Amino acid sequence: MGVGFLLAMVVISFFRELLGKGELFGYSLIAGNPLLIMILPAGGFLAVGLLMGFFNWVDMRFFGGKGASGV
Amino acid sequence: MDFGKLFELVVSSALINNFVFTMFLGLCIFFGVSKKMETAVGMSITFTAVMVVSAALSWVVYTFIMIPLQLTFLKIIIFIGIVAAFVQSADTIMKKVSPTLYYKLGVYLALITTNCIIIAVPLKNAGEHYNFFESMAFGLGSGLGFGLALVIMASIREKLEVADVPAPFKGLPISFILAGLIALAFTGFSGLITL
Repeated sequence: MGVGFLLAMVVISFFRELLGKGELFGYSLIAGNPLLIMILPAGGFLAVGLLMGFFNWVDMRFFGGKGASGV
Repeated sequence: MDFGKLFELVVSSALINNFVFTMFLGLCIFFGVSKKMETAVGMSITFTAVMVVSAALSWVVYTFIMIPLQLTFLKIIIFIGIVAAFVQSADTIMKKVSPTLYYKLGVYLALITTNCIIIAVPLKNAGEHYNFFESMAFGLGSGLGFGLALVIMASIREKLEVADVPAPFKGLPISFILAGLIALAFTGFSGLITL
């Protein structure tokens, strides 16, 4: 369970830092201006929601699952 | 009693540094209880009442027992103990004194103990060395902000239940995206009062 949490945090922060600052580990990866919203608290919620939706989609499409219906 | 400072504390903890949308605290209860308006309103009223009393009790214990005896390093465990004891005693007393209110609240009174905000507020009060009224004002503001967040979420989530949401996003993912949009709106409050 702890490893799952670790992986989730790595994925979310990968997504947020890449889009919000344009850098990973200090190396600048995108040209142009980054999306500021991803670094704000609102971006955290949006990143988690979008990633949850993406994982549900992969589950439904490729593994025949029904998706987590959530709380 | 400086009313200006008290009002400033209430506004700042309710709107500017809203505990749910800016500091990500209390999220478990937030997503769990905000599905229906009735539960959201019940939870927010109960939480505000418990928060104000807990902030007051924690301040009293911190100032008159922990500082003189130099036990400030035990903040976390003592504050959690106070909150748990208070919620337990409120539970027991309410069952005897007004059973109708007890059954109406149901499980929410016990669920408040698991809310992150309930420990964050006394810790912040201790760290910033607020006086008694300032601690209570901070607790009141946090309760009001949490209640506002719950009511806004519940009113939109009720409508989301019957809306046409794509299948991967049904349930929790769309709620997170919704919370993100509301948090974006709350970003407009930042910088309103420079403390």
